[in-house]
Amino acid sequence: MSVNEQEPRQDQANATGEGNPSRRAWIMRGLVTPILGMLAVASIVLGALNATIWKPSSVIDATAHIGGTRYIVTDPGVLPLVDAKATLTVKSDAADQVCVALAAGKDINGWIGDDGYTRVTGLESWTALSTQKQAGKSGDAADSADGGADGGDTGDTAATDTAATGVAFKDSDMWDDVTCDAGSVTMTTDIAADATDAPMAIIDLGAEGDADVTLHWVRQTLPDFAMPFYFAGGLLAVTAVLTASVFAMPPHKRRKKIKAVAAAVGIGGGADDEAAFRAAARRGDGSTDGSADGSARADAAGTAAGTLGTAVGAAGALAGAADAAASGATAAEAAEEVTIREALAGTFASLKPSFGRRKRRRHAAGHAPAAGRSGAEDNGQPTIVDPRARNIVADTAAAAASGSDAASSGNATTGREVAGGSTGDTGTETSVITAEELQAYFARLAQESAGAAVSGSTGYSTGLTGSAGSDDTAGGSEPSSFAPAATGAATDDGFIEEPGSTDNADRIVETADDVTDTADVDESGDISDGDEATESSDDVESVATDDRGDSADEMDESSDESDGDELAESDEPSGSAESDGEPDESNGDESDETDDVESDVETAESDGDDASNDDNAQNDDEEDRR
Amino acid sequence: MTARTTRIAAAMLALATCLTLGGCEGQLPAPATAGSSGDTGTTATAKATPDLTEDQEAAIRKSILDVYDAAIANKTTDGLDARVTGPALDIASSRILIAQRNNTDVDRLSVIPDDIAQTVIPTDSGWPRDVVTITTTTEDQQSKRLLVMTQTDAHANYKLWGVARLFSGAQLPSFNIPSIGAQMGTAKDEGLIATPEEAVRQYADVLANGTASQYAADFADDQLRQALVQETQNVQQGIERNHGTQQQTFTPVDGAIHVMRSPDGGDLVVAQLTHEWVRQAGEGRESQPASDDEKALFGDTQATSTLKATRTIVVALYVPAKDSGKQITAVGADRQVVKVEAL
Repeated sequence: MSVNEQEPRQDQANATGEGNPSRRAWIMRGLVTPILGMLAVASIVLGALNATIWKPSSVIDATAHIGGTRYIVTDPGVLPLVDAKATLTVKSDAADQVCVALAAGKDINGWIGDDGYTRVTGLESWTALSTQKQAGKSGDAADSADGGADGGDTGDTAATDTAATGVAFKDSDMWDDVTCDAGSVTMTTDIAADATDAPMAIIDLGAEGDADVTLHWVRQTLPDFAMPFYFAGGLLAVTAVLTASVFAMPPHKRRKKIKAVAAAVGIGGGADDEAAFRAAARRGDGSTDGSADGSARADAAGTAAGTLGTAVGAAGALAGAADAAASGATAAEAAEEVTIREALAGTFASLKPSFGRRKRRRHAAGHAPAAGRSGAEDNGQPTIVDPRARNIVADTAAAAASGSDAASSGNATTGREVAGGSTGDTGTETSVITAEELQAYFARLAQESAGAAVSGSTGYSTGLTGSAGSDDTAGGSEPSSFAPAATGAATDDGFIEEPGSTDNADRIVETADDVTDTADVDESGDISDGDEATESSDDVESVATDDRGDSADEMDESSDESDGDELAESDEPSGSAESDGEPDESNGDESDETDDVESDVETAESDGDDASNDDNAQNDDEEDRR
Repeated sequence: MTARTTRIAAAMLALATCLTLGGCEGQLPAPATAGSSGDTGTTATAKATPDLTEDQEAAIRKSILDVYDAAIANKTTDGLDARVTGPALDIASSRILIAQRNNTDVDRLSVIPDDIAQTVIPTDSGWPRDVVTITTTTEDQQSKRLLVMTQTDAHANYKLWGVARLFSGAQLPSFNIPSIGAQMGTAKDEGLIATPEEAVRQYADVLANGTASQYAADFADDQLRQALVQETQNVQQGIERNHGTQQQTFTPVDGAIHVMRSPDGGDLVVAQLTHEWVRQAGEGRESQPASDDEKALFGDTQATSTLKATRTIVVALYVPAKDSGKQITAVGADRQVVKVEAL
C-alpha cells in the first residue's frame, strides 16, 4: 500500500468511524435506550401513583346481604382476615332482637344443631363478603338422640331438643362475648390471626329473615406497590444509561480503547506526543483497510507492510510496537463516537498503575526500548532495508513531488509504522514461520538487494528517520526532518543524556557503512534478529558471531516475555490482512490482539519509564565494542 | 389513518397498563384455616381446645354461686334449680329446709368458697360437659370443696351438680392445666382397677359391709367410712337397748356419675349414692329420729316403730389404673339426710 493510497482509506476510516455511528451504537442509542428510558419513566410514574392516589386503602368494608336464615356464622379466620381488630355490624329488618356472639366452633356447632345457617367464608372482593348457605338437617336426626353417658355426638341433637326450652341466646355460658340489640348490633373483636382457638362469630337474627352483615377492618400494614416500581424504574434508568454509553460500543473495541488510551497517557506526558500519536494514527488508518474502529496493531502492521513492502526486521519491528499500539489506539480514539470512552479510558489508565501486573509488565517491557532501539538501528542496516527500498524510493519520489513537508511527515510516520509493523516479525516462539525460514527469507532479501542497498541511501535515511521516529514515540521528538530527526530520535531515546549518545549518532552512521551495528540489534535481546543479520552477509555474520556473546549477555536484559509479545505481533501483517478482509474473525483474534496491545502499551510505558536503564546498558555495550 | 390507529392503540395500551398496574388493593386474603366440618357446617379445629377458658369457668361458677349463695342466705330454694341440680340440689334444699324448720342458719357445711385452687376443664366437644373445680378452704377452715358443674346440652347452662368436701390429707390425681384441658371419662372406662361404675358399686358395698365386704381390700380406708361406722355404732347401742334392729343400704344412683380422666391413667369419679337407713324399735316402742336434722325433716310426723332415713351421699373416688398397685381411694364426700319418714 502506498502513501497515496493511504489518504482515501483515512477518509474512509474517518467517515466510518467519526461521521456515522455504528449499527450497534445506532440500535443501542436510537432504539434500546429510548425504550428503556420510557419504561423507566413509566415505572417511576406508576410508583408515584401507587404511593399517592392509587395507594391501597387502609379501611376495608366488606358487606354481604344474607336472607332466609336465622343463624349466620363466620368461618374461622374470617374475623382476623385483614387485621386483628374487626368490627362486625349486623342490620336486620326483622323486629326480633339481633344478637352477635363470639364462641368456639364446637360451641356454635352445638348451639345451631340441626338448624340451617349461612356461612361467611371470606372476602369475595375488597368490598364484598363471600357467603355459603348450609341447609338444616331433618328432624329425624333429633329423634335419634339418646342422651347417653358418652355424650359426644348426641349433644347436637340434644341441643335441638332443648332448643325450645333452653336458655336464651344471650344467656348462654358458651359465648366469649355477646351483644344483643334490636334491629342492628355491632361488635368489635380483637383476635390474633394465628390463634389456634380463634373464636368465630355467630349471629342470631331471632327468626329467619334478611340482614346485612358488614365487616370493617383498618389495615395496619398496607401493601407497598410503589417500591417495586421505583426499583424497576431505577434499574431501567441505569440500564438506559449503560446502553447509551458502554453497551453502545463493541466490547473488544472498548477494551482496546481503554488500553490504548492508557498507554498514551502513560507514555505521552505531553501535548506534542499526543499530537504525534494522533497524526501517526490517522496516517496508519489511512494506509490500511482497517475498520473504522481501528485495530491498533493491525493497522500499524498493515501500514508497515504496505509502505515498505517487506518486513524490515524483527528488531526494527520491536521499536515500533509501542508506537503502533499508541497509533492504533489513537486511531481508534479518532474514530471514537462516544466521548465518555475517553473518561473511561482515563479512569482505567489512572487505575492501571495500581494493578498487580504492573511490576511484571514493567519488567517485561523494560526490554522493549532496547528492542525498539535495536529496531531503529536495524532499520539503518542497508541489508535489511533493501527489499523495501524500492517502495521507499517510489514513495520518496512521490512524496518529493507532493512536497518536502508532507514527505518528511510521511516518512517519519512511515518509519514509525515500519517499526510497528515489523514488531510483529520479531517474535519466533509462536510464529508460523520458523526461525530458519525467516533467516532464509532475510538472506534472500539480502542477496537480492546487494546492489540496491547503496542506491537506496535516501530510503535508508528515510528508514532511519522512521526508526528514529519510532524512538520519538518514547522521546516525543518532532519528525521535522530526516537527519535531525534521526539525531533527535537518539536524543529523545535517552541516549543523549548518556555519554553514549554521541556514539549512537556515530553508530547510525556506521550502520549505513557497516553492518557491524547489526550487533546492536542483538543487543536488543532478540537472538533471531542476530541470526538474521548473520545470514544477511558475511560481514554481518562475522560481526554477529562476534557479538553473539553480547547478544547472550543482552539476553539477561531482554525479556523473553517481551519477545513473546513481539512474536505475537509478528503475525500482525497477516493478521491485519485478516482483519481487513475478514472482519468477523477479528473477534476470534480479539484476545491475542488485546494481549498484543497490552504488550505494546507496556512496551511504550517501558520506553518512558525504563529508557534510561536500557540506554545505559546499551551504551556501555557499544563502548565496549569500540 | 394509520397514525391515528396507532395512537389509539397506544392510548388503549397505556390505559390498560394503568388499569392493570395501578390502583391495586393487593391480593385478597384467605382464611388461614378453611373448610368446615361438613354436616353441621361449622369448622372443626384440628387441635382439641378446652371447652371453657378459665375466665369462662370463673364466670360460670360465679353465676352458679350467686344463685346458690342467695338461696342459702335467704333460706329459700326458689330459683335454686336454675343453677343447681342433682345431689347438690337435694342436699342444699334439705339444709335450707332444715334451717327453715329449725330457724337457724343453713349448715355451715353448705358454704362454698369463691376462690378456687384448681379447675379441670375438659376438651370434649359433646354434651354433657363437666367441669371440676376445687375451691380453697372456707373461712372457718373447713376443708376444700370439690365442685362438679355440668352442662347437659348446648342450650343449657352449667349447673352445680355435686359438692364433695375433700378429706384431710386426701391426694387428688393430677390433671392438665386448664389451657391444655383434660378429658372426660365415662362410667365404663377400662384399664382401671374397676370401671367407675363398678367402683362406685363396690364402694357402696364396702360402706354397707365395712371390712366384711369382699371389696374391702380394694379400697383404702377413708373418713366417710370411719364416720359411718362410728355413727352406726352409736345408733346400734340405742337399738340394742330397745331390742331393735337397723339396716343400712348404700345404692348408687343410676347415671349420677361424672368421670374425669387423669393423665396418670386413673379416673376421678364423683358419684351419688343413696343411703337408706331403716331403724326398727323393739317391744312396741317408737323409732325416733337420731339427729336434729332428722328431727327437722321428720317434723310432726307420727312416729312408728320403724323409721327410715334417706341420705344423699356424694362421694369422690380416685380409681387408679389397673397396674398401678394402688387402692381405690375416696378423696371427698358429702352427705345429707334428705328425707325421714316413719314406716
